[in-house]
Amino acid sequence: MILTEYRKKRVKDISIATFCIVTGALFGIISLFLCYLLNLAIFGFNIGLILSPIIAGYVETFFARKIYKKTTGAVSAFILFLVTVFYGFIFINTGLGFNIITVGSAAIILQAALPTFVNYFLIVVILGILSYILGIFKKLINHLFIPLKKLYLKLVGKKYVEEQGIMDYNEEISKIDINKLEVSFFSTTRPNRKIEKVHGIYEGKILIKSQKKLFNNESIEKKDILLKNIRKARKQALINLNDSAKKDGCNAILDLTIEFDTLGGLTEDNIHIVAHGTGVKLK
Amino acid sequence: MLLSSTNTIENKKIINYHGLVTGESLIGSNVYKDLFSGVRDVVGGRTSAYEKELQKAREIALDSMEDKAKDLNANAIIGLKISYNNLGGTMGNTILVTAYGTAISYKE
Repeated sequence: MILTEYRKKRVKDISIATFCIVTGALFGIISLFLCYLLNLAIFGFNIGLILSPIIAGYVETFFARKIYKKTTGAVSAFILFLVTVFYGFIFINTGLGFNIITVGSAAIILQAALPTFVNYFLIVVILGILSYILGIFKKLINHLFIPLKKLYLKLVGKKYVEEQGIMDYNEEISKIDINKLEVSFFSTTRPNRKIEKVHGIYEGKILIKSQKKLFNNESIEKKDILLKNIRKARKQALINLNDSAKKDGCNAILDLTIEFDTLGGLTEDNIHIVAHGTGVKLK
Repeated sequence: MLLSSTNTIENKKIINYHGLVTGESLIGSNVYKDLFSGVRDVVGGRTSAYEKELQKAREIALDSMEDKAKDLNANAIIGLKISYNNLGGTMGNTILVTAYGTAISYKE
């Protein structure tokens, strides 16, 4: 029952709104017709092109406020805008050819009439297509770069050397097993043995400078270099933590936390790795 | 392999601590894809491309950590911590996913 009444009211509202819009549009069209009939032109520009959408919008709003008690959003002004554009700029302008100026003007008119839609189209659709095409192009370049570099070096008689990060670590570090150091690391707070003494917070850190081009690079080789550098640096941070805790007689680090940060922002590219935890002496 | 962020496993006895195990992975950036996902963020779409990449990177990091734990004959990892770090600074989006925890053996 309530639903039917609601529907009836809705149909009535829509009918009134449509009536207001149509009336506004009719008044606009009549005013446009009169402007052309009386040739109300200033320097060859018929004022009906500007006046009729305003009249349409005004009439529509007038009726809407009287009957509908609300505004209908001056839809007829928009309709008249399209009508005047079509009639004034395209239909009667027989000299209009299909060229860049016409297309550009049409795009600007459309942009003015439908800003959200056109902006969305420009930003999302066109940019999306461009980004997709350029993305493929970039991948292709990345894929071809190393073989081409190898070929070039072969032609000039030089040897190809695989790029490494700037970090210069002692290769011995890679052989160290962090679980076989003097200090045991636990990411938990409860160890397997009884805590004899709590020594406090210990920290082991390292600041590494890596090649800027290693960041933001899609190539798998570059990613591997960066990842290898990070693994080595983390190991070094843990070894540093081990050394500082060992000095005070700790044999375990509880609640171990490893943090990674980039320092330097735009100009630099340092990765700061900090390993910290609570140093304890276990039985 | 049982993974837990807690210190112990309820109703199970830890018989051996094997030590620290780690895993990590990187997501490289694609400036064009990023730009597009940025636009989609503005217009309210979900950037599923990123979601998928992050999910993949997390799985790689966890898998590599689990493999290391298996090598130590562990059957669980406790005190597990997973972190996501943006290494690209203000300009880029190289995301590092790291996972680490304590490898243990437990008894039912």
